[in-house]
Amino acid sequence: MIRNFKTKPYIYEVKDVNKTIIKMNFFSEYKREDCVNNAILKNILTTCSNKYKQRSEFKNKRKDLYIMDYYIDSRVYNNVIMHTVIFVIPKIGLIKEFNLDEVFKFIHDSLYDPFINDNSFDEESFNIIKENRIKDQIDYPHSIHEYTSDIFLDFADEKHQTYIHRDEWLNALKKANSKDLYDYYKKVILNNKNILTFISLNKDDKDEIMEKFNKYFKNDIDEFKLDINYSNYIEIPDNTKKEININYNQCVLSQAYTFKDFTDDDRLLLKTLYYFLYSKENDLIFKELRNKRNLIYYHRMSSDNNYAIMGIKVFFNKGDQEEIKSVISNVFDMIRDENNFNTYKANLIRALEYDYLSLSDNIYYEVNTQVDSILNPYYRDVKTQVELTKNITFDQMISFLDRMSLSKEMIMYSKDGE
Amino acid sequence: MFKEVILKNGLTMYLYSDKSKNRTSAHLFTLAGSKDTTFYVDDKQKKVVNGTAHFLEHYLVERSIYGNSLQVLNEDYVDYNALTAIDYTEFHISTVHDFIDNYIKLLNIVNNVSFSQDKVNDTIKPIISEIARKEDTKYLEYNRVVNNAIYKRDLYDIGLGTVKDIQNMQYTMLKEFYDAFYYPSNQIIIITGNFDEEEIIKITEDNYNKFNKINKNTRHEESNEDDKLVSKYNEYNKDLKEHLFTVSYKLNFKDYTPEEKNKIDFYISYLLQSNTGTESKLYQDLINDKLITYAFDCNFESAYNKDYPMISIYNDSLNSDEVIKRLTARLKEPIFNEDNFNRWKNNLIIERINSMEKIGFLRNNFTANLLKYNYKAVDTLEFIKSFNLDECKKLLSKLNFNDYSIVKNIVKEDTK
Repeated sequence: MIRNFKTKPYIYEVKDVNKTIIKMNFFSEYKREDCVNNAILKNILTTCSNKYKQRSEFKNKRKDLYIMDYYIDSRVYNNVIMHTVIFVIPKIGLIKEFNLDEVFKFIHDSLYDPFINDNSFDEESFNIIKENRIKDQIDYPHSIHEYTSDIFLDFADEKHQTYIHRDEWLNALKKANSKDLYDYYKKVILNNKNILTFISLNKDDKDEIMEKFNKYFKNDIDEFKLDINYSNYIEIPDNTKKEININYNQCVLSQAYTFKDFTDDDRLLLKTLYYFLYSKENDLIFKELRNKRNLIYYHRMSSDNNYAIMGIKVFFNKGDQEEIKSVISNVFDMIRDENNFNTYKANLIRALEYDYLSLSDNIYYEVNTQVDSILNPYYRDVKTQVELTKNITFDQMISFLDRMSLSKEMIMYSKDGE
Repeated sequence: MFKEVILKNGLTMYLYSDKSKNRTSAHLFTLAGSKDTTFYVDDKQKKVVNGTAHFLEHYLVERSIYGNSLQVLNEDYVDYNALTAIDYTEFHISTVHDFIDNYIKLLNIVNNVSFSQDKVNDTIKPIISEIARKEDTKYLEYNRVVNNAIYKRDLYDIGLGTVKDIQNMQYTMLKEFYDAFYYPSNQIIIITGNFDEEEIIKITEDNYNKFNKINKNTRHEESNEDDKLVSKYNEYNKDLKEHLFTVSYKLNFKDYTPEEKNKIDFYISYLLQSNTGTESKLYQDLINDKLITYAFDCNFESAYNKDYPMISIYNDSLNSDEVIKRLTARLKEPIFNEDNFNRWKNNLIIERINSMEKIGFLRNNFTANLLKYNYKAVDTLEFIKSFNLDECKKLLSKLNFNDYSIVKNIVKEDTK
């Protein structure tokens, strides 16, 4: 999908706020092998700079300047990565020692004048982050959830289309070096003009904030164009089942559902199905398994519209697996009853309407909605979701369920299990 | 800010109304929790098994006059949950519609209760699953050893109880616990959001009158805890395949006022950050001498015992003896510095600015202060700005950092 973005910042005046939030989104081409550089870069740019070389110096200066938050987030849209530089500062005048110019200079320098030696990031700073990342892997697994999710993902997505496998990540991490990171940095930050900026602030601060922003971050280009693949609908054809033993006290059933010929129009149906199964007003899986039958203590679900995949994971006691599988299967049949469907849909609409009331208590709700709409053409705010949900027909849902298949299923038996 | 109201029946309410919001929340606390396995009603000793308070929480939620109230309320778009802590049990709702109706339901769920063995038996299974879930927590057994080196009472089993205790749970025991503790003067209700204060007080009074609850003469068992450590050294060698050690301190909070306790809570974070954190001299020296690779993980915990909270400091150094020697020497004679104190305080100030727009933060902060230290206030920006190094030194100087307990997990090469 071709997108045109303007580089002039979007400014949102928010009533009664005590802070300014600046989000600068840097767009660039993404390749799978960039994963480690991406992770390290986010950290190194926000923990040291050429002027404040030591992490402690950098951290202290940040505190002295009253910078409330400063980090880099990233989001991958298949072929494109968006690095979001986020910094938050107090409303001007709230703290008398606060110096706005110094804050902007500090952030600017950390992004554009990092700690570099000989066309490489400083080796020591680089290694601290790299070693910390390796250490994260040594303590693995941190929980039964992490362990069983990884095992299931490896089985369900053999080609690792939807995630980076731990081994691939570790190999890339071990090979990572400060020179490659610098090259990556030049591409995604230093020489990157494809920046989309959002600023939310108190009206009183607007002039001063914009003066500093233009002084330090004015862009040379007015707009930029990108071809972004927001979705990558996958199909996992096999209907494969597997059983293993794990060294935990709970048994786990994991299932992955995929959809034949998934299109953009199906995104709303997948979301609706997920809400029927997992959101609290319907919460059909929990209601049937726990509330009615006490077969499980808790469960988790996931759905990903960008890959067109849905997952169910339940933790259970030994011996209950066949009944649990049968109940889950029956839940899908319940949705195929038109009266039930209408009830679930009405529940969902009501829930979304209440969602709107709840979300609008957040003073940033309107801003966030507008920002998300600009960033992602598939984003629908809650009000729009209500209207779209009202228009979903029973036949549409039936046709969607007909294209759904249980692609992968794994039972992990506890150490005392079967 | 929060208005304190004590009803004629002894129930305490704290109210914070903000009519610009759509959402309203009510938190109901009964001041009895998992530690209350022995107690006295009219001076008569009563005993229940471990896990009784938690079982009762499930029973009240799942076997209410509405049936499974979790299901009923969640289906009606009401956030609702309950939890059992060491010394209180909490039930809370949060909703953007029909708050009064749902609030009355909450009062009924907790106060309008009937007991039967059938309903008890129906409650057992999810609790057994919860025990299995707890046992799958990494570091559970290690942390049990750490805690048991500090406290005389094993706090790790009291929460959920054993599978055997739960399977044999009798309704008479639950009822005895309920009757002993679930009465108005042993309860606190905190309400925040969009509501009318006078209306909510009247509704609360009317409903409690219907429940016809009589206040009891119940007292908790006196804790036999003192400021002494249970043991000074333990080796753990079970299921962990990583080097790990913990140094723990037991602090005596008995002689401080509620406000002082709350301040010390903050000052301890400064003490640990400035003396063991990544910017401290100790940390830098240990890194330079290649004795540690990663930062200390420090925890201050007052939930287990409010009079004697504990500090525990974790690290995975292979040179644990030397690291422990230097760490404990540093905390025995900590370094205080005006610059890093002010920097730490700046950080608290910006954190406060960041969160003071959120009503949920105000409620959680107030509730934590109230339940932890009986300190009935929110930590305002002005309160944080009043912190100073002289006061910090004075308050911390009374704490004992001479005695500590060590737990080590030593990995044999063949099991790594």
